[in-house]
Amino acid sequence: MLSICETQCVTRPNASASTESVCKLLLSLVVFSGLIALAFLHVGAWMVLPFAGLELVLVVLAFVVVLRHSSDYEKITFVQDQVEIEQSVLGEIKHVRFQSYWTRITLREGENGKTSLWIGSHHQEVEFGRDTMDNAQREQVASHLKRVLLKTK
Amino acid sequence: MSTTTVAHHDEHHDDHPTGIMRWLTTTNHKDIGTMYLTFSLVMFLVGGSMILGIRAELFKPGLQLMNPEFFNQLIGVHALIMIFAALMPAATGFANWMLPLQIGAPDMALPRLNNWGFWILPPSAILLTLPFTLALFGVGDGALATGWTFYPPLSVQGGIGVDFAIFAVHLLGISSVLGSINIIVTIYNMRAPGMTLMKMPMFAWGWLITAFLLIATIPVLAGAVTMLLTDRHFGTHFFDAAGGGDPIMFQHLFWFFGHPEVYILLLPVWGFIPQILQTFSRKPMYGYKAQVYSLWAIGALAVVVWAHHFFTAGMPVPALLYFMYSTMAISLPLAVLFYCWIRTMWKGSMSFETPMLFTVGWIILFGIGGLTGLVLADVAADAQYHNSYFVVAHFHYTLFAGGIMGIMAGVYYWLPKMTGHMYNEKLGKTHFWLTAISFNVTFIPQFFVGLAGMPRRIPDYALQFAEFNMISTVGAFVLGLSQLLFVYIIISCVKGGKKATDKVWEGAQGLEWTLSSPPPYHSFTEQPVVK
Repeated sequence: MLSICETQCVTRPNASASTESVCKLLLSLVVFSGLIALAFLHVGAWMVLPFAGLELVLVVLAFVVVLRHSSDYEKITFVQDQVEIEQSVLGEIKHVRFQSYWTRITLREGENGKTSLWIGSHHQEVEFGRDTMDNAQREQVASHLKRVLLKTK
Repeated sequence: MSTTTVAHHDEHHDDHPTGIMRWLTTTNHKDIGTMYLTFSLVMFLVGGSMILGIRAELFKPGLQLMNPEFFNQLIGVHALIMIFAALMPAATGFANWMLPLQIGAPDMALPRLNNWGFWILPPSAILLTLPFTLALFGVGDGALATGWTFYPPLSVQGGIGVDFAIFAVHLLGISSVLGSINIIVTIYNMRAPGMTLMKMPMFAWGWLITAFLLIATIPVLAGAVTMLLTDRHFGTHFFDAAGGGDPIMFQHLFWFFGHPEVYILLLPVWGFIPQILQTFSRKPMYGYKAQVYSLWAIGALAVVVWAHHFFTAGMPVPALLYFMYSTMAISLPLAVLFYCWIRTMWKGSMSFETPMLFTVGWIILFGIGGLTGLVLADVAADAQYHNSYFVVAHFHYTLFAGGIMGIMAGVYYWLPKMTGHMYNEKLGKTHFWLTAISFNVTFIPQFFVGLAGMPRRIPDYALQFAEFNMISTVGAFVLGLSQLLFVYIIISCVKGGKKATDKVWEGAQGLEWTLSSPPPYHSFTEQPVVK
């Protein structure tokens, strides 16, 4: 999910589910599938239980993998003559600042056709939107940043 | 629901791998959807060819073309292929193609899992059909000959075809579970801003409930066939009465999965049928909430009615009554759905392009399937109809008319969006009429022979059933051959044709129609916002 305004670009993964709603969903799945497996265990069909357990573990893992990154975000903010990049991954927030005048925006294309967007200055570079944007969005952000930087020069 | 989105779909943004590696390694939801749909079409033709062999044998009384064992093998593998390798992958193909587009997601939530889910399917289809080939070289005695239900003791005593089928079912189950997990996570977590659950397209609701049903029931099937495997090879006696086991327990296990499976096949179709109706009636869907609650009610009832499939196996009277009434209760939410579908069309500005023809035909024919199901739910009547051709006709009205014809409606509805070309409307309509008429010619006679007492799964029959079987076989061959026209229409549409507009249909509503036809490789380059 990408939002762009004149002085800020924010990108984050789609995250329409709250942790609470996912917990409720998983709990209901565990109870429902668990009851079915236990009922069949009661009549001697115990082999249903390991399959049900394995499947529920997979469902929980899938949500854990997705939700771990649901609060991640990446933000570029223009503050006076500075470009500030803020990246939050798994709750850990990293800040990098560049002087606008010297900031360079580079869009590189990898072997598999996937592009990467780099923001840097004086031998320091930060990749932006690696997992949260597609090629088109990276291109869009790159041209927006170049345009804004040009104005500041 | 109104939407705002910015279209920005230049061709140069569609960078993606090409060649065979694109398809082997792809994590793109549209590529994977295309693979599912192609696989489904191929297996539909494979399963259909098998049943034409069966109908050819049944053209006349007596044994003409094959021995009874091979006849039984064809029947069992036909059903497994049609259910697991044709219908389910078709619905999953639509889910992959359309769910992200409809809910405004850039892709499925777990793209690699999506790829694995698909690539498990071809090996499982090979496992299902390989015993036929092995038998030609003198290895084993062919595929499973138990019907798709694997009932013991026959399945415990059967040849290697049963083992192949057990492993195939395991793989198909894994594929379904991976797909379901992906769909649940995608629908829960990948919706565009503003796309609340009660604003979701009906197709997303149909699939969400389907995914829950799969999660609940696949472990039961997996457990059942594993127990069967250990009975066959590891000396256990789960289903062996001589060893203290219970063959009827297998029937409970199998149908605890098997009955919800019917809804697993139908719920996705019930999801997109209202969307087609509103498009070609040019008015909003009637009773959105009523339909959502009805789908949930049907999903809930689906897991508590399984034993009506074996009333005649012997059950206490209270159990018979419970399963009879609970089965009949499904007709209530289903009646709500039928009412909503008809009210959506009521006083609409209707036009009858091919998707709408298939949809209207679907409502009528699926209605017959539903009503004949009510008759079978009656314990007293079922004692007469059980294991007869009446049952065969009934479930083909639900699964061919209700399932496959629904899928065909979906194919014609979304094909221009997927390919960017319009299909040949005249050929599409010809395909509909050929399919609808030959389907009825095939299966109406089967109601009559069933009522007259002809049992299912037999290669030979009494002379009194000869005429109806002859008519049924002629109908089946016309039905089978007319599907070649379907294949031709799809291939020619993929290759070219009149350019489809982005919206394709005048009355179409939803996020997928805001994208270009075909949609760009990466779907939403700017986040759609649903108001």
